Amino acid sequence: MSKKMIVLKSSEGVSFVVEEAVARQSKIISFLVEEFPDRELPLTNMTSEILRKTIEYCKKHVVEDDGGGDSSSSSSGDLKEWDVKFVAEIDQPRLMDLLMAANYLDIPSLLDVTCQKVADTIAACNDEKEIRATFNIENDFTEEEVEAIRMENQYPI
Amino acid sequence: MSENHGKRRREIGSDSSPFDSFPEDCICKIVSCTSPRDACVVATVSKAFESAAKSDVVWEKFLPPEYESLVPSSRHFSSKKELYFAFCEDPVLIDDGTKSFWLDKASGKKCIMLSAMNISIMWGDTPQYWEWIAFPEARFKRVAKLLDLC
Repeated sequence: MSKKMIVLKSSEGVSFVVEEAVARQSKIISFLVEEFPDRELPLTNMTSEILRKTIEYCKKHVVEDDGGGDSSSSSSGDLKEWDVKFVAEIDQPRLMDLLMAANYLDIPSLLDVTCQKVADTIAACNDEKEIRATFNIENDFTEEEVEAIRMENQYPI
Repeated sequence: MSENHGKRRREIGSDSSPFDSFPEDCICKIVSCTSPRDACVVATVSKAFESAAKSDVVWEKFLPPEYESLVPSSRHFSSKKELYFAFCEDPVLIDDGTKSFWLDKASGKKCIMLSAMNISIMWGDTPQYWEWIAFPEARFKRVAKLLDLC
């Protein structure tokens, strides 16, 4: 019995043939395949690289959600470990893209792990200046405004 | 699988930050995965972060799950952040006033102080040795005063 496949197309026009069950990890795709069966789904704001990573994540997670009693299927602890490794291997700009993709496609578990990884990077920074430098964020505050916010949130260091 | 690595939505190394294109609820989600202390640092990063770092979505995550039952009915709070700080600064009495509860400011971890009423004191019921008194500076209604050692 062959599994139902669907085609996802990246912004560069590259087609990815994916098992429907894999792609349905995305709530948006799940909705779209019901509305437009047998249609190729164009994801115009996702590069092939990010789409490939997203599919890799969904493939791993669909196996676990199957619960088919496969002896090779890993426990939720192993899956957590896999998630941590998965995001650890991605550089920061791509991680941000992947987070956006998870948000756009509505894949809650992928959004959770990518947000946690960005949060950990923020937590590892010593101060707001380091956070700005790490993520290339422009400071749109005046010195006085920063001081006022600091006064409002007094924390013992 | 053919791929084109050269084309990207955002120019890396350009002036734009990855956060420029982020919706606020994504930034809120990220901040809520940090700690209360980090959220306060994050508030000084930029206006977008400041707005996320004071949102109820973020501070609700830092409050204990059962926080609603711990809010004194006499008090009103305009935001979850204000409520969080109130729990840090003004401990509340729980379990019929036998325990005092507050939150650790930096981590949001629950802290509980037991009153003498909660612990078993040998001869505690014998007035000859122990007296249960009201002590103005104490947070609990009654404290145990040792009168005599046998």
